[in-house]
Amino acid sequence: MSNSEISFVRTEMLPEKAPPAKETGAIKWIRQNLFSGWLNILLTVLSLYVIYAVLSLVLPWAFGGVWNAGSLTECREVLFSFYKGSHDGACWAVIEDRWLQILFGFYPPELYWRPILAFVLLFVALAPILFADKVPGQLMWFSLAYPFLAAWLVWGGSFWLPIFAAFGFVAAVIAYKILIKFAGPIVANLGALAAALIWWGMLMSPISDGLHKMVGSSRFENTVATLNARTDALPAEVAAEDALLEAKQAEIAEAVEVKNEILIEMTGIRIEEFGIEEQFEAKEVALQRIVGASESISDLSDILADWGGAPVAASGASEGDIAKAEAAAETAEDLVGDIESLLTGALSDLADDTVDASELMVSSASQADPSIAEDVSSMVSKAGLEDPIAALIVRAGNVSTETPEAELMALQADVETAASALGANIEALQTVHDKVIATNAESLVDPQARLLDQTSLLTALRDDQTVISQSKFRLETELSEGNSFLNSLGTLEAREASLPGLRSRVADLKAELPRNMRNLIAVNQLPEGTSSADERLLSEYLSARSDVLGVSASVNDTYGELGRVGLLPIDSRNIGGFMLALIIGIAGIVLSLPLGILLALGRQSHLFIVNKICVVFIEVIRGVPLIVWLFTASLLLNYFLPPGTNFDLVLRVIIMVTLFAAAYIAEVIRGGLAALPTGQYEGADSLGLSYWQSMQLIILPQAMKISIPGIVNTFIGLFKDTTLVLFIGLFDPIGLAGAIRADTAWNGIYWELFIFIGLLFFIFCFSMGRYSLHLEKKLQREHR
Amino acid sequence: MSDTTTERAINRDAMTVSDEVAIQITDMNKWYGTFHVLRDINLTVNQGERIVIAGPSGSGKSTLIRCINRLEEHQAGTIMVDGTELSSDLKNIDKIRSEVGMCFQHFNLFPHLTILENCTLAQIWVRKTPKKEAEEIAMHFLEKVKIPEQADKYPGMLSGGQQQRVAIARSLCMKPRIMLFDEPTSALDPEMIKEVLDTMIELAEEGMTMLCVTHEMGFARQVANRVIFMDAGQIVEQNEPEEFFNNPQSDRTKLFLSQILGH
Repeated sequence: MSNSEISFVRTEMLPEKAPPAKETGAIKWIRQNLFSGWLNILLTVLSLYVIYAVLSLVLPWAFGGVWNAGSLTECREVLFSFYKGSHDGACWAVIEDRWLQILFGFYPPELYWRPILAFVLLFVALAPILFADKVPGQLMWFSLAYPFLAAWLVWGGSFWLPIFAAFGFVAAVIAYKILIKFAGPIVANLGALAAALIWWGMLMSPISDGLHKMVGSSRFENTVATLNARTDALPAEVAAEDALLEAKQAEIAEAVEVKNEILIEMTGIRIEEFGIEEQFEAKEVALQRIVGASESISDLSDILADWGGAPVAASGASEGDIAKAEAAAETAEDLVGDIESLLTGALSDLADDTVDASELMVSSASQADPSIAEDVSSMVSKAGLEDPIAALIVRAGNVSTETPEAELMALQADVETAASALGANIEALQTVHDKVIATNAESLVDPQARLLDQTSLLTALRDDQTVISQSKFRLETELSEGNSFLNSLGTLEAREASLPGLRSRVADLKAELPRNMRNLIAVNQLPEGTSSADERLLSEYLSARSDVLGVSASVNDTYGELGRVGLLPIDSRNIGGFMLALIIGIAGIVLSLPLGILLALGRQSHLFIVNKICVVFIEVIRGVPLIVWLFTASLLLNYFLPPGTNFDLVLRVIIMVTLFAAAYIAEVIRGGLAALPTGQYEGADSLGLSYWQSMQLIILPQAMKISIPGIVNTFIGLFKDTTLVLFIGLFDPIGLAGAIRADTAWNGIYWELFIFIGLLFFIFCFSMGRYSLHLEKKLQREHR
Repeated sequence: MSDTTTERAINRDAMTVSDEVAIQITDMNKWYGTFHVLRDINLTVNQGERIVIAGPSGSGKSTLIRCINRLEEHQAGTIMVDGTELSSDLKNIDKIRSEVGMCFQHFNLFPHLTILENCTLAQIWVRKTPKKEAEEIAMHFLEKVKIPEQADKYPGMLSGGQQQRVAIARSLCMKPRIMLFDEPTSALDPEMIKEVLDTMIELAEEGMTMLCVTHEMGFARQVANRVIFMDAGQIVEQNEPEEFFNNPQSDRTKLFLSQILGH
């Protein structure tokens, strides 16, 4: 090979060209993604079939559903009037009836605006966090204030409560700023923690009580006067609502009556349908019997042909032959009986339908179309069928084992003729039936439309009734609460005046007690052999002390209600439904992320104690089912808290859910931290950044980015796990579904409720997933 | 090994060595577990010196310069940087680290920040420089390493040579008195090695104190005022570049040089 052959110099660079037409566009996509090989074609076709099969079941059910009904029975009535059982439909009416309850639990309906407002503001608060690049940063202050505002909106109370709660953090910051000037960061952090705890634990509630008392005392006279006036006026209002309610109930009863009349009318229209169906069934049975009779005749003639007449053993036959002949004779006798009884049965079957032909002929389908009347009359008249069968029965009665074969054959031929006549009649009946249904469908259009109108009218009436009964319930509650509040206001002065006396009695009793008994909190803690006098003294002291606590708490409660400036407080028991899932889920998500980050950093830390605490925490929390932690929150926590502390159940659940999710988040973020090259740590170190600076600026942003899918996964899991609170007596959506199903009106319904609840959760979880994808894409900076 | 030479004449005027001591390492020892990595290291570096550390892999060169800004901890002896002793006191460490710049083999830029943010981050958070001023300083040094137009890109969009120059600019933004280079060119293509070496030469011409672990013997010859040869955790030989390359004393050095320059 010479040198000139391999030498090559490009003098011109090649221009860019478009790819071949076959390799672009929809055709390529379909070829590549759906039909790229035999196996894939098979899989595509199979998948399409499965999708079709599922949708053809689900879609008619879902879209042919009933939206207006007061109970499952009503749902079924409407469905039957449309489909006559040919296919099932969803009873969406239960959602229409109960969706507010599924969303809000037992929250008072007139206060729904509070959680709704909190929910709307949530998006304002989330905007600067989720879309930092598109929203002004000043909104961040609102995001920080939002948790306190939202809690206040949902739970209510005086307006200063959320401000006081937030002030704990302010106190911590102030303490930190002061201490950092004199001491190291550890002391400053501990000081900040102490300041916050002192504020929350010792200062906050006395100050709040003081404010309530101040405001309450100034309002006392006014409040009593207003309450008196109100409680006097209320019974009349309740009575008015009662009258309204009664009127509405009467209206509803009337509407139900109209609805039932429409249903009866529809049944009337369908009477031929039903009658023909009944005939149809009777004739089918008769036909079977006649066919059976024909078979019996042929069996009989077979036996007779075998034996050449009635089966009789030849003289001198063996014992076995005699037995055989006897058995054959018996079978032949049975068959003879069968023929007659089957034919008789067929005749009575034919007479077994209850519908009178003349009745059918006046019904609407016959009137609408005279040809149907003719058809029906000819089909339902049974004379042509019954007479031959009756004749056959007579002939069958004459049959015996001695009957000649030719006669038997003739009988069988006639029976078969009767059978085929009946078969033809049944077929004709089928045609008539189809015709009747087609005619009836037209006549049914109007009553069906009226039925739908009537049910939607009923739904509207029932909604009105709900509003009235809610307002009546509200007035009744106001009356009873007003009365009991007036009562406690009446005794307020006396209770307050009794306090100093009670306190000094406690002090006296305490002084009398032997020194070693003064810290006991129960009589059964006394050591063995304590004198009965001492025991009595202790029990007196304890009951006096609990009296003081009880009276002062009741005084505080009264003042709390009297001096409240803000929203009506709502008990946690009444917070339920999807709102509860959102409260627990969002609080858990917001709180577990920072805690998870700290745990992850702690688990990576070189500080031995910190490291081990984090490891143990994570492993213990993660290793025990959430449901156990929830039970701990609802039951066991009471034993560890000081007596008399009233720690809100929802708050306890939030804490447990947060801790649980934080352990998972910590492990997810630890994975992200481990995935970072050590060069990033060294790069940050070499620039002189401190540990917290390098974590905040370099390490965590990158580790978190890697962990986004895992974090969001954990959040979605947490959100769905909020349904577990059902087991500790909180009414989450699933718990409410149970409550709704326990109502007699909706007993037996489940798909519709769970589909609705599933949809609610799906919307939120799917949004979270999409947001995480968006975030991942936005932070994608590695590729060119 | 490529023997890169620059086309232009190198200006050695500013490359003066002062009497002021920049780094003083005395009887320094380091172990990884029981493995004795650095043995009785004694090294004095004056202000303005340009030292190249050479040696086979595993000889402890990188560990030595990583000890100087305490990315690695030493267990015996003392290291004084600019008159401050390196100890476990966190304040001293952060102070020294902000005075000593470092460039890594794999650049270690922060991929989630733009080039400009990479350069201003430490100024803003460690030096507490106002953002505006920090950006001016950063742009100044980015111009110096000849990539101001990349300021708003992310490190992933740059070539290796460009990234290493950004890393140098990032260190320079902290106005360090000493620069450490840990094999700055060994992860680069030959085409890119030159642009990085040019930047380092410019730095040397301005009188920066430099400690450089590298296999670029051309660079050592042209720029260094001292070459240190290490093997098995010890300093085996140190000399001026001319003497070191032309007249090596120890057999270990001769072997190393014959292997590295022999082809």
